Amino acid sequence: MKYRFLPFRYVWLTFRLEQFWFPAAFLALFALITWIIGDPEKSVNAARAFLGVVLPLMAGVLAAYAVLDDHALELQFSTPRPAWLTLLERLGLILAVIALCALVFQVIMAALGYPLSVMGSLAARQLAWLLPSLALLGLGSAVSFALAHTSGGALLVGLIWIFQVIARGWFVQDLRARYLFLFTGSLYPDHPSLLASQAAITLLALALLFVAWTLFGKQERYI
Amino acid sequence: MSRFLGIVRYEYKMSTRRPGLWLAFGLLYLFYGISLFTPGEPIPGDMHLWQFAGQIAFMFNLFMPVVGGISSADRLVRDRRLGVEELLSSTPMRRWTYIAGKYCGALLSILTPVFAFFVVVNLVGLIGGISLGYLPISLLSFLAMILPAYVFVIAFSLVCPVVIPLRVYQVLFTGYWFWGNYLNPKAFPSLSGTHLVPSGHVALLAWFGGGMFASSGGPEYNFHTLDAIFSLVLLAGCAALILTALERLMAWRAARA
Repeated sequence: MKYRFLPFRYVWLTFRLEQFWFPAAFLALFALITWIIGDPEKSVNAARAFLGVVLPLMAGVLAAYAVLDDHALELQFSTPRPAWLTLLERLGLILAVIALCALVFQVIMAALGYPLSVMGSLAARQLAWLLPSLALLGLGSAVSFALAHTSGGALLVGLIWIFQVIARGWFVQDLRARYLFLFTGSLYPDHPSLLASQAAITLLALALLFVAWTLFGKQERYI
Repeated sequence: MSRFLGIVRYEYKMSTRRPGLWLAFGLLYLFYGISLFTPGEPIPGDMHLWQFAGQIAFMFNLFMPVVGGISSADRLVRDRRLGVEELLSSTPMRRWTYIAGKYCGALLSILTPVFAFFVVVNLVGLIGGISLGYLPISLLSFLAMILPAYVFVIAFSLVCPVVIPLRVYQVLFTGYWFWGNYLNPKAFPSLSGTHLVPSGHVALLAWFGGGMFASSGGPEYNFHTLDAIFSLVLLAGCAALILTALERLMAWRAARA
């Protein structure tokens, strides 16, 4: 059977618009902050925080509401569209918006003369925001489906995020916890466990997305 | 009064039956259990009981208010979406009764798991040999540091999602909790180091010996009794102000309808 993505006009009219304007608003805010700060070191630190810490939080919380918050969910279930396609549309859209914001922000930083080379190569800079965003995206959606409640997913994402931000020093130093630390790429790019940490985060993200897909297949839980 | 109590009862029962709330607090209990009950920690002597109580309360305020804030953010939004608000507005119930009932119900439901774990921590301390004189000091730390945090957070979590989208508020609140309480103001402009800090930082420094900040210098650690009282009044005042703003907003919406 041939499956089609929803027309963009339908998406624009029916999806919650804050998943488009909210990341863009934060992009503008942080661009303004880095410009106002003026100090190169502090501006780069703020840029690193936006890319590697703030964007993943937005991805996670938006993902928690992406599917179950749809008022026409039962209508969606009545159509012969597979669960993976719906997830790909909803979560993929959030990730696409986050990716666009990340790329535009890096262009703005380059234009302002604040190099982000402290985060590593061009590829390393993309992994610094992509992997934690994927992980929190997976966490938000998996927990929302598991609890059949959107706030539960947002709650766990917020809790894990604040825990990792406040206890970042402990995460980096602990021999086991460092592999679950989401922000190594942005906050500690020179850490020797960076690659191992990113590999572990990638596996975790894929596992969480798989769980989300499996749970979303049980549609009767969400009606 | 019966209507107020009815709303409080409903809100409390609904909230405490949410599995997500207990799952989040359960994870925090696990973390706190490991970090607080590490064997070998010396039991503080009487002179250090105030510092110990303040330290425990400060640790409670690291993460638990985030759970409280996020989980209570959807209360009024749910009522509006499910049509309950419209139904209630057709009854002779007053707006302040509704707002106060919602607020008290949400506050009590979030304080329940917090206080339960607080009691467990105290019991473990007593079993471990801490003196009985610690209990009233611990209760004071709860009232002076933990309770004001939730009074402030729950008020804003109830009201703000009425005006801005729920998920936007939850992201902003999570970011605010770190930015407004724990970010070094020298590294980045922030509210931390001021009196408008719900983490209990001011009361910790003024009344409980400073805890981990006891040996730190600098004006941002120089708070006294008047500062602590001002901070508590400021937090309560902000909560009252935002709830009043909600009542005015609901009155305006009702007039427009």
